[in-house]
Amino acid sequence: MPIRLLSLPFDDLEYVIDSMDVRALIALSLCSKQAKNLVQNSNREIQCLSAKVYKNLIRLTVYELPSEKEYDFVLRDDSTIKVHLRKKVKVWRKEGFTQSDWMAHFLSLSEDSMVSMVEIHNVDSITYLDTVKQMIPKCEILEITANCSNETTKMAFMKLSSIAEEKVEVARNPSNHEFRISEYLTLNLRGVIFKDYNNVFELKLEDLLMANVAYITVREAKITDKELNRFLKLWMKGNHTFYRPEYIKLCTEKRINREEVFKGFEYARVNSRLQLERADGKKLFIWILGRDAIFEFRG
Amino acid sequence: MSSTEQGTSSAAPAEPTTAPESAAAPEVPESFYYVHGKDKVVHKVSAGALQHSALIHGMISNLGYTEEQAKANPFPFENIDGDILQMVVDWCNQHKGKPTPPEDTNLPKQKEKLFDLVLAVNYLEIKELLTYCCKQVAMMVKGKSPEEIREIWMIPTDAEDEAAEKEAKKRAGKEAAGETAAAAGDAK
Repeated sequence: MPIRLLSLPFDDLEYVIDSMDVRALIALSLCSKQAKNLVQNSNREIQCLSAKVYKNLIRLTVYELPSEKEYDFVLRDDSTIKVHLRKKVKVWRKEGFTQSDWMAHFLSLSEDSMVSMVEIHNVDSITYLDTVKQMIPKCEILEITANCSNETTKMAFMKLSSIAEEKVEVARNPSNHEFRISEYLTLNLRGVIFKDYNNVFELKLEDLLMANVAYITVREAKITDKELNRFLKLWMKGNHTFYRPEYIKLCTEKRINREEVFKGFEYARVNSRLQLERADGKKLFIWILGRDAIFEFRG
Repeated sequence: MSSTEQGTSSAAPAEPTTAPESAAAPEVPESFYYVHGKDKVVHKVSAGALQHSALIHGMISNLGYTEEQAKANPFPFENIDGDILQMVVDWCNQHKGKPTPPEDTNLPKQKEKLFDLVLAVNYLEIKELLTYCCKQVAMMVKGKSPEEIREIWMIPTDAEDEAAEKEAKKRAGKEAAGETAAAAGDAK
């Protein structure tokens, strides 16, 4: 027996909405514009936790506060989405809806209209990355996973890194003799983490000098002690010049020789860190232990 | 129709049942009130059970009826179907003087009556029962697709909403034109 939900008094409607699980709530929002408004104006806090991009599909994980329950939806490009229930998978259809429409619908229901984390896996076509950028204009973290091809890794970094407000993580080093991914450190980004334990990221002095990323972590990095020493010298000489990085962490393949790195410098020791100070008052705190080096730029 | 504790239902107010004697202290006689719905069937309910309803509790407090006056003047709820009122009375009796549990297994299962029950409970301001009913309404669509939800909850499509809006505008326009014509006629 049907029940005319939208005729209920507002308070009752609110109670019903508050008692629904997120899957049902999303299904309701797809019934009509009026139903969508109802869901959007409710007290329910829905977040798009992650979007896994693979082939030409997006697996979206939606998260609800305060229950902390997660729900998975696979967005396809044929007016349908796959909904993962406890033991079965259901297909919901909305005529005329494209994958972009599905994504826009989910984003419109979420609290901050963004996806927290976007994971890129291997895609069917590089041009699909442009579609992804249009569908997900911003996220907190972009992760380019290890199972991407070299080409996908390179292009995903190029095309999508700007959507990440916090950081870009690259789990595969696609560098070869013609191309080094570390060159992309010149992009205006907040944070970049290169992490490939099997293929070292070769860093050159210019990569560090030209870097335009606030927080950089490279694991594993290939850079000589001599180049680090030259980097420090050039930083010391660069009075009154702007240098964007605030934090650089290098986990190198070999043990770092501290004496070699600090050759020719007068430095102060502050707790366990060493401190360099430029004539313009800017300070650099350096922490070197074994194969790891951390540079923190202040002032 | 029956109520599990003090409440009884009949076409006319029934006599109160005899309360069991207590060995510890003399039993304070409980006061009873009478309500009826659209079907005019009068239900006798104890004041304790009626405390669940903020609306009736407020009416009782304000009126200060004696037993006789209460019997002679049952509270009329003409907007509530008799069987729905019966469900409400039963629930109030079952939960008289008890803290309401987080999940209520005694809730009526008749889905076809759920909508009317929600409206009645909302009107009578029985907060706990309303919460349970709304949960039950929400459970109706668990695991359902948008199409299934549209059917169960009779949600109009965008096209139907637009048509209804157009119709409403048309009607409002006609009414306004009618009023203007009437006003012009009056002026003459």
